[in-house]
Amino acid sequence: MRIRALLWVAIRQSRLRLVESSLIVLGIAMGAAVVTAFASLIASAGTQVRAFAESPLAREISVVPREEDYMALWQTTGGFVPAVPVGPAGVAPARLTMGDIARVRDAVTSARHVYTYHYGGLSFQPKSAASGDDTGEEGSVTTGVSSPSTGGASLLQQRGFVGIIATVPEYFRAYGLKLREGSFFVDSDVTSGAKVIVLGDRLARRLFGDASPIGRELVTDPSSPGGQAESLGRGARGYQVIGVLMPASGASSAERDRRSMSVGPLDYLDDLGFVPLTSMAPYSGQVGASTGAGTGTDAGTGADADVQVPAVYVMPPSADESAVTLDELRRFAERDYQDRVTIRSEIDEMKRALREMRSQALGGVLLASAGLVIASINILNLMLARVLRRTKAIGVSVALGASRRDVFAQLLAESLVLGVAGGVVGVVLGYAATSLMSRVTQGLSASVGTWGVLAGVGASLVASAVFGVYPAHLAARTVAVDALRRD
Amino acid sequence: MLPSVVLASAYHNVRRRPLRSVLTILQIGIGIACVVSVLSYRTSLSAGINRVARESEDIVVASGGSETRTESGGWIRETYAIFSDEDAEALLASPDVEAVSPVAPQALLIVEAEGMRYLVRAGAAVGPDYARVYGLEMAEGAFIARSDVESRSNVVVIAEALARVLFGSRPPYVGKTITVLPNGRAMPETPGVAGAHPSVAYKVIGVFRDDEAKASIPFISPMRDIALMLWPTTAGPSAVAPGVPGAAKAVMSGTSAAKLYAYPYTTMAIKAAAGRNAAVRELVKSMVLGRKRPGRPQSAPAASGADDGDPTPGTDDSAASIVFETPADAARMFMEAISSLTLLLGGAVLIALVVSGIGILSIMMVSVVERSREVGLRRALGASRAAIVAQFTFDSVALSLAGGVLGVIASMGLYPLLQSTIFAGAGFFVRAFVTPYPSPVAALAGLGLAAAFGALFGLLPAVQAARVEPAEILREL
Repeated sequence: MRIRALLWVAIRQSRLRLVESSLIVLGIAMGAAVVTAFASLIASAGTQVRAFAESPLAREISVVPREEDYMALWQTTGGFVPAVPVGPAGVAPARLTMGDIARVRDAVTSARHVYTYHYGGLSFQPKSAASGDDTGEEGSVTTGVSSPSTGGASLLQQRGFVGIIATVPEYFRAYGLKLREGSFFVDSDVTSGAKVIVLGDRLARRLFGDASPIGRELVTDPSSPGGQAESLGRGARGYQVIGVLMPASGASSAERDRRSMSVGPLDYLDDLGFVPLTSMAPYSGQVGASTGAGTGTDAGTGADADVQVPAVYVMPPSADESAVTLDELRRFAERDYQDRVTIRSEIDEMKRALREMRSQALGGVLLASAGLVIASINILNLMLARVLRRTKAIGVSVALGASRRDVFAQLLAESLVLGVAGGVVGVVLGYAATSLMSRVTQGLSASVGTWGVLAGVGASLVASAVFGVYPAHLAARTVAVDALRRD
Repeated sequence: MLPSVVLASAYHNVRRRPLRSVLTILQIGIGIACVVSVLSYRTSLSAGINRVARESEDIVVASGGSETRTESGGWIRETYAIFSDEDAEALLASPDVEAVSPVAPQALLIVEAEGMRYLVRAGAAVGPDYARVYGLEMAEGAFIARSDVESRSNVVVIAEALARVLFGSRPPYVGKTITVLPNGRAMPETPGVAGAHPSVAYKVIGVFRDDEAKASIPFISPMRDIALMLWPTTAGPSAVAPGVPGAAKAVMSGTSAAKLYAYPYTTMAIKAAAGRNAAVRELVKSMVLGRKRPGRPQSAPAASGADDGDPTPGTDDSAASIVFETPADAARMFMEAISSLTLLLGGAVLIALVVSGIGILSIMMVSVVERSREVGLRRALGASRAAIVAQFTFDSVALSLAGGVLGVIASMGLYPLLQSTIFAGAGFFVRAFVTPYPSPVAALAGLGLAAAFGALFGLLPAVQAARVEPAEILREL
């Protein structure tokens, strides 16, 4: 029989039993909707993971003294670990210094950038009540949007608590950060512990609006750690703004929309300030009397070779070459540091986490497909009943010359028609389900993508085909004589 | 109609179309298995968390400082030290307070024990009443005593889990030594820099039993992790003779581990009398009223009292404020975080159940059409409409109940499977809470749901059946 005739008969048969067919379609639609929503969720999670994997954050490799490897405490899955061993007692704890940065840079030739940074915070003095100037002059941080309407205006703006990355100039190159205004700080600033600051894009706008912040000063709050170290007699308490960055994700906000992500992996950098490592506690105690005989050479040689750093970070040139860099780095660490440092590759961590999530996804697939499986059993059940009901009619068509294949194809076509209809309706329902779902899972802004549609329609097609085979087979086995003999 | 007739009729019908009945039972079984599993998960989790919340309802942790939510949804906490020993005594004088202990937490300690060096998750310098505040049970030895504090002895009390890691599973642990190294990041070797301190050897005088459930709930700020090592406030690196104005240090949360602490104290842990949580908070607030944030220059007189850290614009923010925590709140917040996952699962499972209901409905409808002759005959012989409806509804309920039983049995296998996959991935060490087998409550609920769905979705076809006109059927005979 020709395909079109097949389909036509199938549709007509379904229309004959409209209520029954509608119920079947409804059941499949609901099952398919769940599958669609779930597939969309997984797909958008995958997009985010891919975006992260392509960002510098993922390529970064960290070298940390074992005593400082806090991540080790959180490595174990499904268990509360009170302590992790880091080595034998009595050995001096490994300390990494600027000199180590230089050593790693020389030894690991495949690394593109070697740097360090420390993630902390500083409290800047808010505008004092005395100076009634709102445009944020020297010595204060504007209170930002603190109109009465935003009554509980975030303390962030009032007290000027800012996340800070204390680092070296190489950091900006490693993360591909570009300047909107002003300049970066340089190696001699690190050597001398100069109090300069580069602002992230959003931070600059929040503190200074559209005015240029270059040259302005941010005064640290004496009751904050940064301020504390200062009040121990080190002179000027303010940080001078010398630069403003462009948005960290560059011009890719359009790309982000395309990938339906609300937050790029590097976006958090826009809210931060960047200062030389040695300008902030707890590292500021190290440079002092040694006036930065800043010869402008690479950090790590000369005056600041002994400045302790929290970790050494290595950025390979690309994600593919990270394995090479990691290898080189591991061999170097074995030679020079023995067992006293831990080397962590973000990509490896991510892969490990993903592997663990695989079993989760499996369980999720199980639950998500439950609805569809039930609906498919329904198809089976009802198709069997149909075959039973139409025994006589089938007998007649067989007697009139229909082949087994024809009968089989006919009945299977009926199942498939219902399945496809259910799938299509299911995908439509899936849109609603997905938007409902994204309200609940705040992290993932899921939307039905091609994967979702494919999964929904495909699953219902396959399910209806599989579960429709048996009834079709039964029908094809009809013997005309017996069928016609029935009443 | 006699029950026996109804039963016999139902049985007969099942036997007539065995495959159909089996398939229907299977549909319901799958749906109910999913429902029971997810329900079990949810009920055991909330039971466990509620227990923890109940047991810590009367614990008030007050820290000088303020907390803000950042734009990206995280928290930033500033803390400063504003409590003194006199404050502790003043609090104890109140009938609402049962016990008070200062707490100076230090996260991420480097310790050495029996020749090995370890990184320990969290520890704290505390007062002798800490055990009373948190209800710690000693497995061995004794807790820090007042005499220890007064003599400034370097003693330590550790959690059982930590003892096992450091010393192996071979009690007794009392008498062993733990050496605490200076925290690398504080760069202690530079003299004159705040935080410099040498390594200190502590003697273990007690081991306390840990509650894995309580330890599993993450608190908001990592500093509030369960302290595994406790030493007197006057011992070791935190030792500053009372009365000496130590430099008041602000402590940062969440990021750097530059923990510096001295007297005065940043945090007080208070055990309130039953139900007096709110009253104790007021007490602390009024006690702190008028104090300044340490290090603040004297500016406009403090107009506002200490609040929970959210002064209105224009208020003098050199006034000290307090952040309150009750472990019970953290427990509840944890519950909310879990809720989104269970909501998702619950939604998927509910849909599965509805689909199985649709399954019953459709197959019952087909059944009704097939049995219209039987119905017509019975009506002609005197059966009432109600009897027909009852019959068909009963058939439907019987099938669903059978499906429910199948589902409950299947959930015995499905639940552990889901536990090792999805539920484990909730990510908060939920193992301490969830039971290995589905809860009986959930099983009962599953059976009930099955019966209800059977009745609900079987009613319409049953009513349809009853509408059959006997005359028409008899005509066809």
